[in-house]
Amino acid sequence: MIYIRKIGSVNAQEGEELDVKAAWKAVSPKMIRRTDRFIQLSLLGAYEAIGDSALDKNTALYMASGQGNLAVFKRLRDQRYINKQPPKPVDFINSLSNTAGFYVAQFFDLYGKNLNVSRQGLVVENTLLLAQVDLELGKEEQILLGGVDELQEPVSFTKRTLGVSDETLLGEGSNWMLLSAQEQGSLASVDVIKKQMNITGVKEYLQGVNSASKLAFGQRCSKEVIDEILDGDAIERSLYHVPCGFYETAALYTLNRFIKEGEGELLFIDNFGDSFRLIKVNLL
Amino acid sequence: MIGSQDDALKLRLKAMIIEECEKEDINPEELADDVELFSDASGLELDSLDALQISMGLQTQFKIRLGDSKDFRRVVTTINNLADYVQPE
Repeated sequence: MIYIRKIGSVNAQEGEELDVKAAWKAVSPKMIRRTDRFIQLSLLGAYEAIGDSALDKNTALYMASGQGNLAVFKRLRDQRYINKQPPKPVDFINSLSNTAGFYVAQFFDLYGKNLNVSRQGLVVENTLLLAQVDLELGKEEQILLGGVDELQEPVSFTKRTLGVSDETLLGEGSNWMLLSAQEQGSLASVDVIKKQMNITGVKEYLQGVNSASKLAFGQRCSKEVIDEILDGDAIERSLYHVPCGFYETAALYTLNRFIKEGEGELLFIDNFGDSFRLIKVNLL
Repeated sequence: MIGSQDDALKLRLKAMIIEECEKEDINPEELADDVELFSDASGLELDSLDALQISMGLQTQFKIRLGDSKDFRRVVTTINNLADYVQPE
């Protein structure tokens, strides 16, 4: 089990105007040059969590993303194959997977491990689990963990690549939490269940979960999956739902919202295909 | 007309440098023709990555390809020098 000391979120839904550049420029006009929207979104979310507080220089930074900085890859593709030009140096640098992490580390003056995790499905759960193991083993004392995904136009194409229906509203966000192995001064505890399960395993696990615990489901959990889990549960569960456009790291937005406005305990269930992961959050 | 006498060309070069180096807070017309671009006096605070960006801008917008860093250092000194290289006559 690990502890959450600070949280911060920037979140928007398809159709909402999120002027990330203006918002970040207001925070740090000096650190706008050479950054693109994905980097600015990363910085803005991390700033929402940490603000102007000083972090220990050894704080590690783990950043998760479902799609990564896809916009810069589109620009590089256009420069190379449509305009028949070599890539712009700044775009090339920004296409490296952890450039956004570099900027966040630079802004907060961090010199610890800087890790970038990008995958489709369960990216938040796996990154949190990695952070949890590193904190529990004493490899890190404090980790700034974020999940960032930027809405990509055209949305019809993005929905197809993400494998969601045309009716699904997309979103984007930058959600961050400061994690520690120490309870003192924490907002909540978090425990990522280390065992990856199938749906039968989830139903068996639920039998041992306190009736007061609220349940939340990840955005990839279909109605059929949720019904099957709830139908097999002997207890009438209280569900916690946060309206939010679809993006791969939205799980962190749900967790942050619960920590900000909820009470008690939350069990967050998410899946990708037949694989399920569970996160327990307890408000302190 | 040699480049350093062509005000329109020099303004285009200044605008390209400001665009490529993301120095939008600086008005191109305020950039002096004879100031060393990579010196403190220019107020641009350019570094080696800016040099690469300017090199790319010259290639894409002016079809000028500078072979290596020595060529770059010889050509991209002041706006006047750069303009003379882009438009020798």
